[in-house]
Amino acid sequence: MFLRTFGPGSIDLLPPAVWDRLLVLRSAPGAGKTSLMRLFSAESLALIHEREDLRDLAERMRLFGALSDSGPAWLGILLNLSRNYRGLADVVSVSESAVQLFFRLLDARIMAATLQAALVASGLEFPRDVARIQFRVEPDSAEAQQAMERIGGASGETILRWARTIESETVAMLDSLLPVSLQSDERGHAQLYALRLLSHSEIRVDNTPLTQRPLVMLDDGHNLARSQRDALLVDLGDRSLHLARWYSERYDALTSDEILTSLGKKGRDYELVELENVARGTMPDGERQRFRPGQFERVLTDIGNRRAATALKRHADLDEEFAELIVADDEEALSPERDGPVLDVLRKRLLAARESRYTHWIDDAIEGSGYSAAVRMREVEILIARDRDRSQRELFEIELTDSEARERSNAAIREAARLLLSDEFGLPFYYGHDTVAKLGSHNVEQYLVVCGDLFAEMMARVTMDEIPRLSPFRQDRIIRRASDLLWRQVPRLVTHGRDVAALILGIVEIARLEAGKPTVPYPPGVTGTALLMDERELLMQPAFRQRNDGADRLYVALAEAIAHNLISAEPGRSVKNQSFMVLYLNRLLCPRFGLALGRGSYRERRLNVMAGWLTKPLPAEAAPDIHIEQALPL
Amino acid sequence: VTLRWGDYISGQDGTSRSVEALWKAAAGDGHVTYVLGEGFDPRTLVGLRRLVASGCATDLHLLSIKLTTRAGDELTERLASENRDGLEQIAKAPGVRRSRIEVPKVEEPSSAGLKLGRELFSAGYFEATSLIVVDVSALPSSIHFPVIGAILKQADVGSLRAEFQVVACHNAELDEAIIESGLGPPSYVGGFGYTGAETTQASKVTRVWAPVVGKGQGAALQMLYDYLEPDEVCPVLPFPARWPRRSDDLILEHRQLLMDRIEVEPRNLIYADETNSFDLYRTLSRLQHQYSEALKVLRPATVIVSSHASKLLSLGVLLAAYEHSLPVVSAGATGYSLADGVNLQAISNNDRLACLWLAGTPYISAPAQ
Repeated sequence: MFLRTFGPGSIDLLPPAVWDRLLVLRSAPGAGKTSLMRLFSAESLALIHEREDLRDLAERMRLFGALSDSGPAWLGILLNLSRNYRGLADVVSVSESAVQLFFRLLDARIMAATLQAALVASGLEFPRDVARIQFRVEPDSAEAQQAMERIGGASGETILRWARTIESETVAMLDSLLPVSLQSDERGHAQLYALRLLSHSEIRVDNTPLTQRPLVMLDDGHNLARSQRDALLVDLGDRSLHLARWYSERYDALTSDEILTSLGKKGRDYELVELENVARGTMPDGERQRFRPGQFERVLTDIGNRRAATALKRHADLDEEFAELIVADDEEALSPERDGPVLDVLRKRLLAARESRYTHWIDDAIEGSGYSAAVRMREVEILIARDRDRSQRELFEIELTDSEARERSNAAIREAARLLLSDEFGLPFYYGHDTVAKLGSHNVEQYLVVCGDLFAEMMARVTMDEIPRLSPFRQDRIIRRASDLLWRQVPRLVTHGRDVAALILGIVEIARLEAGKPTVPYPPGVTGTALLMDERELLMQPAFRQRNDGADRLYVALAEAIAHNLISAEPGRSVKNQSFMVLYLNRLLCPRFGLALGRGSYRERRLNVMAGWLTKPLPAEAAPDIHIEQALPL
Repeated sequence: VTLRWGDYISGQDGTSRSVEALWKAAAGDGHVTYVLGEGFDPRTLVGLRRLVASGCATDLHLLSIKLTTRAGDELTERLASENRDGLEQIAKAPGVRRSRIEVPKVEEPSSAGLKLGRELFSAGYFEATSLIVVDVSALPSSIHFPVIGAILKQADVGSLRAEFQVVACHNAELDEAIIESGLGPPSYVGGFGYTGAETTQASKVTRVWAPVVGKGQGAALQMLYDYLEPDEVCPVLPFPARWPRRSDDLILEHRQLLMDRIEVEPRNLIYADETNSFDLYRTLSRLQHQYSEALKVLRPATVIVSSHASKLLSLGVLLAAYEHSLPVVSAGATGYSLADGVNLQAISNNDRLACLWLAGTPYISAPAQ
């Protein structure tokens, strides 16, 4: 199921050079690190090679170098770093010993996972066939010879026995309700011996060498203690190692300082991939952009289609794709029964604004019918407001022509007009597969949450024997609910959640202020703010934070919000000879506040203003202002 | 199934057996060690004041565990300061002494309680006492689970000579008004069962997750569900409860996760008396027994528990987990605060003190005649 629903386009998130150095994957939760690693596990690679229905994926994997014509090129050894490791740092007080105990347990688990992967790759069963595995060390490698002695010997059987003993001893030590005393034979490992062994040895199954080369993947490194994580990265970065090794972590692994300074920077001793930045197309200087604007949204749509395909076929006997079922005709956004009243109001407003200069524009706009006419009228209202706002009026105000209207308008203004209609008349705004993909905010999990809500509604319609296509009204309503849920979860989901909520509300306030202007100066709307890079430097200084009210809370809230993808940061953006760190709201928060989904418009604020947001009492943001009510289709 | 606390001794406000009656029966010569959390929770001193007023503790040793309060939150800071002052006042009385204990600094949040439990014994705090009372009213479960576990373990290995009771000031409304902020990484609580072994075939154990569902705990429930990937989920809901519709409200609140995503079978819902820890303890014990019996011919099964609700229900979880070595998982909050606009005065009218006698005289078998 995992492989059938995996979007092959996601492989492009990885850089080309991943086999000869340490690769570090970093992102907020849900960006797809684990899925990427899982794709390269021995089990997945074997299935991709064998299965006919995974041809498109196999082709991409072949191009990437993970598969050859004869089968998997790599022995993917996948381990999660979330179990037990961090607690080891609390068992002994000396940090060095704690790291050594951590390495010992990790060595045990890497070796057990290697045995398991080797058996999977050979079509054998773990642990039944483990005795059929042997490690043969390169004759001139004393380091590997020593490593083999430390990890239980050369045979699969003795290694597994050793690994299990280490694991059970360690877990008993961690879980003891009674005081623990460390035995001398429970000393740890000074380095990861498993990596040295795998670098300089051959894995043989039934005396035949495995053709695949080991690829060690360590997932969720943010769950380690900081001392463990740092020691692990140093060890993994050792250039004398001859094996592919990948490591992933969330931004949580970093300190607030590191989050704010390292964003978008290139790794020095390793290949660093910040998944959301790659997906957004924001790459470190000098690196080629792997995703053009909109490309990652297409990858998301593909994943959504794959996830829904089986259920749609099974339950609704539909060959249509999920994305097709949320394609909506804009005209449906204004139902025939509401068409009259909405258009009447808009016409009256335009006619009230009538003056000779705009006669042509207004006469042309009030002619039409349906949603497109409503958008056109609201667009003309904006254009008139902008024209009246000119600083220099002409001596003779001549009538403006259609072509001038076209010149002065654009897609962003039309989008702003749609958003204003939504706000003023309760018409749907958030619908369609492009919108849903944008709401993912470059995060696969978030995208799938929204899709899941839409899909549940589709299935309900199937149960009622109706076509599972969702109207713009239903989509808009479901999306606003999902947005509201995310907003409500902020205080509980994130450490210092209240401060993060205050930061978000500060940006929302700017966006609403701008959206309330009749001229819509930044169409389709503001969804971000910006802080001078110089002021960011100030914010990083503890002494400054101590002196300035709210600065410390802003510093922590900013890092938390970025780490959890509630706000995305683009440092070093140059505007008018000044450099800014631009902060955008996660797009899924926008429907909750009736904001546009574009990324581009922002209004900068000074550091003291932002810090002030956090010291004010949090305004009571009550229930979402959803005024689109529709009777249940019962 | 023969249960350790099948015949239990407990007392509670509003019932025929008062909490004071249990203290009187257990205090012996009056040497009492009282462990409590020192934070902002308005229930911090309710139990202690009642104990002092009862006159049972003629030699009272207070072990107050210092809990941190989030800087910048005026309400919680004020409440914490009031509790601190109140505690100092009590400690000044004749026959009372006080030791302040810091929560150990740890890397893994779930290790803190375990480490604290070990330290309490290494430091000899419980050596010359007749009665140990752990007041969990203001202690987070990540602390009181391992501390209570450590005391029970010492009793089991014969190193504890005192009576052991746990008290909790139960107030479901207040529990709901306390906002947890930030989620720590999901983890197994140390000292209980464990299914995370990777070198063995841990994945072949059938995992039945029984979370005690609470208000506003959607993010934690979701995180633990993803972490555990259980084969079966049996959510625990409070019923009977002071607010009879609480379980319905909880299902409504968590319907998306429980019904839409996990697709919990309605017959898997477990109802437990909100005011009786032993009710949930018995239910979870039976659940563990039934699953392991039913599935033993196929593969081992274990119930994994997590508590996201009131104090008394979490004690039920603790007892079952301790006795049957059930794994306990948590995604502990990184901070706590009170919801804005809470009327503490009105809410505190619902405070009910409960006492569970967990080890000592009532559980010593009488010699055969």
